[in-house]
Amino acid sequence: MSLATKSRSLLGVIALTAILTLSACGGGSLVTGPFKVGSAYSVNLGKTWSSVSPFYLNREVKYLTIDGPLLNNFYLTEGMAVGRSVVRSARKSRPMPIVKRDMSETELAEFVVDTVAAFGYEGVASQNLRPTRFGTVDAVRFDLTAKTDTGLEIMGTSQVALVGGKLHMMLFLAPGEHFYPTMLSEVDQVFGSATLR
Amino acid sequence: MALLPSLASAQARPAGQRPATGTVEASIWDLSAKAELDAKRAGQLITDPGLNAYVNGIRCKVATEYCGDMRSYLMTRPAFNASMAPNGYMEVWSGLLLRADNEAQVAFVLAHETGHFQENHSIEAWRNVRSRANWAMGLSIVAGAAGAPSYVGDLIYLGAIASVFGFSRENESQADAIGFQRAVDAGYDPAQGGALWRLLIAETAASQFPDVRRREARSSIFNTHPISLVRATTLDEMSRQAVATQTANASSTRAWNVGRETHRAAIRPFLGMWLRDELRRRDYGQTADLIKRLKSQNTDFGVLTFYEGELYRLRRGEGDLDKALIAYEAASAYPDAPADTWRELGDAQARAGKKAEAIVALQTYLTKAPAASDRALVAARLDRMRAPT
Repeated sequence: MSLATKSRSLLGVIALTAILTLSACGGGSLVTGPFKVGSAYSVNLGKTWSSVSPFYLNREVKYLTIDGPLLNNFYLTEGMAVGRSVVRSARKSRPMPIVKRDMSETELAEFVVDTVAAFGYEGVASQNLRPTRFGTVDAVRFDLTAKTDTGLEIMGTSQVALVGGKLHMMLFLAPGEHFYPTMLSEVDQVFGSATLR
Repeated sequence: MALLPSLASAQARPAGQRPATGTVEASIWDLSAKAELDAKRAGQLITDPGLNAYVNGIRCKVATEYCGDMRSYLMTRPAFNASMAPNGYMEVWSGLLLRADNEAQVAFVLAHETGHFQENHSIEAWRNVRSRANWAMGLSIVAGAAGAPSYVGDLIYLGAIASVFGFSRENESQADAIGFQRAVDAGYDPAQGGALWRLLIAETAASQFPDVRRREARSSIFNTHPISLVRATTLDEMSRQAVATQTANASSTRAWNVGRETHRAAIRPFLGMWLRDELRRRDYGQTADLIKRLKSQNTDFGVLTFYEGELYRLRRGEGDLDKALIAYEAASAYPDAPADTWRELGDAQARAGKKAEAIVALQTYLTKAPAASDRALVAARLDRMRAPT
């Protein structure tokens, strides 16, 4: 029901605020320049980002933002093995998208799209899938559009690869108005800077 | 024989009625209006004129005198659900439209919701939970006084208000009876009320998750109590009485409206998109049951067989990739198979070591979908596959 949904949304806002409040107290940090994503790879951050990874439930995901999680989100996963997911499920009957064995290039993009849908975005769609390089390996690059449950237009871009059977994903999401176009050149630069370790 | 619930009460609302300013009902309407505004802006809102006209048409057939008082909003949400707010704001979810076998089953749900509207059940529920709301209001004020952000108070209050929409068992039974009569009066096949709940019970039983199977219903409009065989049986009994009444009335030559083809034609453009949403729930047992039932209408085999293949590919159980390949091959024989069939067929063939067939399938995909969003990716893959090793 809509009102119940609204209540849940407000709960999400409270949780988010709690995360931000906690990050102000300690645990989060400012990061720029060379940035290690676990032991898998490193990127070069041109701008100064806030790392709020300690408050993200999944330790395999580095979670960065500049203006706050509602305005720009940068997810970087270190090599995720088969069966692992970016989003943790609260219930067994609500499974999340997982890394599967023998994924095709299309399935790599599908994993990211399904993950964004699992974040709670609506109408998630991929565009302009194209081959690229993630460091020295073949990868998939594509763009995304989605909406929040209140109808805000969201845009995104992602670069994803399988390295040694493990999934490396970089995903940037932001409101399509102002925040996405403003950050796109920085994100492109970060994607291009990935160096496998 | 089950006792049949009572029909309309003496308090049924007159058409066009609006609450007087300053009343409890006016306050609830204001809250409903805010929720309706959110629905209008929601990312899930389906604006397709054809589908909206179809659902609105059914609603006005069963809600007759209230047609102008109600507004329905179709939402892309993969669960069986519809809801009714006291100000006439109704939500109908895509999961309901996908699961209904025919127009008559949709009509029974919309007529049931109309029953809630007619009997002002929200107001009745409000009175029942007023003490809870008073408590919530008190908490909201305390939260505000303590310096909490305003949305904390809103959350507490909205949480209590949302409970208004959880109708009692008696309300649900009455809405069932009113809905049944309205649907039958509109000419819909009386057997479809019970049939709808039976298919939902079957789908729930097909879930791959034990905790879902243990529940008789999931995300249903009847979240105050589970859909049960008893409920379906009650509707079946109403159906038998309606048919007997018609049979006894020798002057009646009425033919019941089921509307199978009409319903499928209305949802056909959305089948692929909604099945994709279903697969994202990752309850492959339920989705398999749903696809099997959709196929039982002997139409849309290309789309449905493709999504059967998608189910196997995504489930990735023992032997599932082989089953996916077989399904994609089968789907490709039907004229309504989506272009994606050939991309997935190519991927499946490549996995099975059938390189030559995979190249043909992927090339066919590019021919069938020249503007595909993944054209550059597939073309690059083809180049790699064709390159001498």
